[in-house]
Amino acid sequence: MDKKTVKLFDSELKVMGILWKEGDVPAKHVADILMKELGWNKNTTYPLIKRCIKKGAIERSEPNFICHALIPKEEIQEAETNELIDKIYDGSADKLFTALLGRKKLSAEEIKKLKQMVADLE
Amino acid sequence: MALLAMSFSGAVFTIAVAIIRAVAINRLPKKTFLVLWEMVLLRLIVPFTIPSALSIYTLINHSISKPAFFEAEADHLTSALSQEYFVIRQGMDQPATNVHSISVWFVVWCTRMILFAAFFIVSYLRCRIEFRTALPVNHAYVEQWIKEHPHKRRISIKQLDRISTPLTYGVFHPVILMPKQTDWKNINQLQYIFSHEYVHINRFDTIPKLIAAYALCVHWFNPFVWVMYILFNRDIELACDESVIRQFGDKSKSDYSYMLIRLEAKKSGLSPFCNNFSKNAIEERITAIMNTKRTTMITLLSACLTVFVTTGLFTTSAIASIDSKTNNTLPIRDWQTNTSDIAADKKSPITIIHESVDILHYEDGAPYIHDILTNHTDSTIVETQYCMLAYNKNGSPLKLYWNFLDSSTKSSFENIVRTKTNILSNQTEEYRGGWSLYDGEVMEDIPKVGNDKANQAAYSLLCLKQVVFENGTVWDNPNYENWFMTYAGKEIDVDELKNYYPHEYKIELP
Repeated sequence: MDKKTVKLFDSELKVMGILWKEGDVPAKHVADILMKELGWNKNTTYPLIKRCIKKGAIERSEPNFICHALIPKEEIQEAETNELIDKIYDGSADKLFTALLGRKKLSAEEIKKLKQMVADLE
Repeated sequence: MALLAMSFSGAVFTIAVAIIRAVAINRLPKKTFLVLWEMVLLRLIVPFTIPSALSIYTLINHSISKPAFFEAEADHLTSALSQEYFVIRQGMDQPATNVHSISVWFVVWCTRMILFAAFFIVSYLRCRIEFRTALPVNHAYVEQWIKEHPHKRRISIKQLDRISTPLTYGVFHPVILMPKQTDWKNINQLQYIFSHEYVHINRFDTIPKLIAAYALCVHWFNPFVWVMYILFNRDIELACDESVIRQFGDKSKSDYSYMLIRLEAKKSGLSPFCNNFSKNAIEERITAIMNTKRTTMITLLSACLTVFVTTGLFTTSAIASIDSKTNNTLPIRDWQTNTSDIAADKKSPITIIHESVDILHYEDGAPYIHDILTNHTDSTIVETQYCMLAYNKNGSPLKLYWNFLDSSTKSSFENIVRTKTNILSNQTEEYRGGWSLYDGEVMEDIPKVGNDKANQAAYSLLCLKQVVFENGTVWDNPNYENWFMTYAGKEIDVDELKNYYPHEYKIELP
């Protein structure tokens, strides 16, 4: 596992934070803490733990689904928003609508033009 | 009203609203357009219309000279839609028992609709699952804003690192979701964003968006519904901007516009169900914001007038007496359902029924067409004029030598006959025999006609053209021409031929 490439979302960092603070704990314990802190239910927390396992940030061991942090706090790289959005929606949903509605990222020139528009209309 | 009729009038309505929008977007309050789009949605979804003499469809029917514009438009639309119209309509009008006759197009329509619906639902659920992992925001201004805006539905503000522009989700427990990179110190910007989302929440904007998505799924084949969907979503934002500008005053216009540009610059994508704080669309939006004016009595009046006139013209249908004419602009096959619809409402159950039309054989094997009429009017029928058509077992139309004893006649698809026959009120006609058909194999002692082959006719359709009553009244079937155009010389589905009778004629006497 190439640890340098592990990038985590804020929500996943919350899960990791608990492991870094409390050491190896059962998944249920993580869920309980996040329930108290953030009001997340199991259905929110467990998929996050699974995602961390998939990314190689957590190791799971039995019995009791003990979670162990594979990566120390210092080595975590915070993910960049733009890159991540593409990953969440997997492209498909967004691409269709972006194409249909003609919404692309604005170029620097377009932004300048828009600002000029506002100034002209003032 | 069938799906395609709704789709058609929805399309006409959409064009009208789009034109008004292009002309008056910066002149009328933006709410006007929301109301108009909602009317379009209603038209697309609710199979109900108020017949009105002021309906655009009545006007089209009435004035032959006047409506070059609308007529052309209607024709264009008809040709664009008619092909699908025929097929889907056919599929949908079949009773459920005729499962085998559901057309391929009906299946295609259903599958595509389910696919579109699945697309919306899946992308919505994926967003919602992701949004659950949002984190709370701890900033003094956010807490203060929430305190200042108490709401029946508890509003919360959260942050997520996976979105690039602010959005709102949740109808019952609305959540304003902010991007992680939000500049939390820029209180000016925050208050605009929160106010914008607050307007969305107060107006329940998610609900019309959902309904629009539903209409899009059902009418996926109609490009005008896509136009409606896109423009409606834009207008929801425009109306929301307008309300925020009104709240903060004219001075806020530029500030608000610059903020939008900043947000737009960061944006990389959007999701269909969320109220996004969102190259043409943004320009239109900024122009609209900068041109926001105070509502005056005049704008308010013109807004009301626009809504009433447009809605009056386009959500109503043609008045009943010219219903059959309306259908001339729509595909012809419609008439059959119409007559039965009218018969079904039982207001004036004066009818003549063609109970059956069969091809039977005499003992020697010679074929003939035998039809049975029931007279449900209250006077005696003394004469009928009707047209007969024949088809082979595959439903192909047959050109027959109807008067085969007269060697001078040519073959034709149709045979129009006049018979003097007395059918008393509420009596079913009883007679032997019928219209003899030529059969080269059976009829040996008759002069040979045509290619001299065995009789091919397996089905026959008859339609009354005129009925004369004892008291001298004459009823001309208003649907006769339509019937003739639809069936004469046309390939007809065998199931339709089999299930055509009994057929009801609604009699309206002067």
